[in-house]
Amino acid sequence: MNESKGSLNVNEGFFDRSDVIKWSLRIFYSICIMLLAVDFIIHRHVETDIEKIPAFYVVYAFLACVLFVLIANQLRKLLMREDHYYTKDEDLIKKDDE
Amino acid sequence: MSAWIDSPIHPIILFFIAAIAVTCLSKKNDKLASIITVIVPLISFISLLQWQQGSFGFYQLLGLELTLIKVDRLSLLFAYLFHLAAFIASVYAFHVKDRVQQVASLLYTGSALGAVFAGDWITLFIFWELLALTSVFLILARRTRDSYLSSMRYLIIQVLSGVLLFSGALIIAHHTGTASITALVLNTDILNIDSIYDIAIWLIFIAYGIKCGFPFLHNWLVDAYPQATPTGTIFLISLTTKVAVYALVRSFAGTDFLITIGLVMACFPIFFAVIENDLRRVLVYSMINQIGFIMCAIGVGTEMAINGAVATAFIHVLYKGLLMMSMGAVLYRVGHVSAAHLGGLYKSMPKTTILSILGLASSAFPLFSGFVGKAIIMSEMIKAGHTFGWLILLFAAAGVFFVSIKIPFFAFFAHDSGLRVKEAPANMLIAMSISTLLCITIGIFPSSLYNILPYPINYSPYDITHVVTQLQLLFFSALAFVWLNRKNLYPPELRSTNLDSDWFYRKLFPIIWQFICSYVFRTSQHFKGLMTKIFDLTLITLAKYSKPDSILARGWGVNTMLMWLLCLLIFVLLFNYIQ
Repeated sequence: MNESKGSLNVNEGFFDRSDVIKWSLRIFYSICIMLLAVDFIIHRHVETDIEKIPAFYVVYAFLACVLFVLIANQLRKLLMREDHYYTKDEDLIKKDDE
Repeated sequence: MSAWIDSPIHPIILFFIAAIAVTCLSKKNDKLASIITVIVPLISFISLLQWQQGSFGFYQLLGLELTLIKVDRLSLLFAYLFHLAAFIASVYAFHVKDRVQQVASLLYTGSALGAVFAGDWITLFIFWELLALTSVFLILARRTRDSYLSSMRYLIIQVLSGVLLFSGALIIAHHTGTASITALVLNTDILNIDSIYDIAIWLIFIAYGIKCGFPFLHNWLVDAYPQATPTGTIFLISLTTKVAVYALVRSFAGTDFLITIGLVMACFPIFFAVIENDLRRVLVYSMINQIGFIMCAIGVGTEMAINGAVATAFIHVLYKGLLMMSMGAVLYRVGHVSAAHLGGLYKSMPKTTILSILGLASSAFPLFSGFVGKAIIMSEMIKAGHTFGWLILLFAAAGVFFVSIKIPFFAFFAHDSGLRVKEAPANMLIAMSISTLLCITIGIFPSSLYNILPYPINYSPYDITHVVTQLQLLFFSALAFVWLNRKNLYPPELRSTNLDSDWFYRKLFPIIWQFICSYVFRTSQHFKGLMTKIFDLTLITLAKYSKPDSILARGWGVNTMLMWLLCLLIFVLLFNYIQ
């Protein structure tokens, strides 16, 4: 049961506009490209051998997050139950009593 | 006696007196009660600034010399943190007119302060249990059936932690003759534990582990904290786990096993956070992740690593508190924090949206507080030779930022849920702004925090490599979030229950118990039936042989009697001879 207190009213906001989303994403992608480029321009001080791999942090972060989601998706199949999984038995007893 | 006179006034006295005063106030004085809850941490903090290092308030109990107050840089830092957290949380809860919550929050803060100043295990135990008993009211105050059930589970687990601590403390006190809190050496070679002293250390370690949220002992956090009131959760996330972190730093710094535990804690909650729909629960999972980082640092145990652990704990209270406050504001206004049914709230709660985004930035971005704390831990992991551990932590750092994006994204943006609510109350916005300001101040001027750390520190997190690599890590985690969402690979937000370690005691153990009970019942019924049959058979047999002229009804002659008597005497004689 979703007990919302607010009123419902759908109208277009600033971040609903497709041009705003498009430009926001363009700026975001540009920053990502810049950060990738910087990796080849500056000399990073490395403390471990693995950091010597070009664009190590970029690749590692991206792959880590994708891996998290892929594993989590499988985990959900194993772990997901209905919303009131733990209380459903008590709810049934309560309903019977009523 | 003179020790008592010389000792400073313990903050717990101030907090407890304030709690009594708030209890006595009538319903008309709601504002005054709120003012007291805000002012008390301030007064206590000013008093704390005058404190000198040393031990005070000695007393005797159970034949042991105990110390109520032990002041050093470590305990002072945590005391500052708890005052700050209590002040911010009280401002956040200023609109609350519920006496239960006001009194509980004062007593809870006082108990946390009592725990960090405790100089011995017994005093620590007393405040450890008080933490449990006072904080449970912040969950109960939600006044729903789910919160009631959660609070009971919370209380049982917390009290169990206290019992383990007390048992361990008594054994150690008996073994060493003193109950003073000292560094302990954990014997991780479990198969070769041969002394009760080693077992006592394990008991204390597990007691701390429960409060810290070690893997498989963590579930009370994700069960109870999201069930607390919007304002109560801010106190909860700031105090209990941080008291446990403090206790671990005191006794288990340099315990290698903590690194393994920390790495598991840093990673596993992220998987759960990805599929979790309740946004406050997502924050609790990410809190466990951050405690994982802290555990690793405590495990490394060098002075610098301890500085990193304590700094991260300090900063974590501020930015996690900020994110939790933003979700508390949503809960207060909307009535739930289910990601599946939120979205588009930036239109009606723009200020909360900005503060929430700043809270997210504070968790890791340069110029914000999160950046200056975790950097020390990462650096110390490499220095200590834990390169694999460092890689895991890097993995977890990317992951936790990745899942934290879903907090502001699903609540304030994503699809428009059509919900139109009022902006958060002014006091909530002020509290969130104070936290934001502190996060930015610490981020820009890290020395403001570094100077009060337990050990001298000469470290600057701002070098080009560190800033660039951190930005790469964060932006490409965000890129993964965008890409996965656009490709519809990100798990959809669904109202559901995800099984966690509480399944063992909420489902499996009851099933096993039910099975045992029914087995015992069936066996007893079977046994009862068997006994009845034997009894019946005996009666029938007796009846059969008791009929007139039957063997048992016949009269016996004197000769027969004498023969049996003779047999008996021979038997007694033989028995005595054998003996």
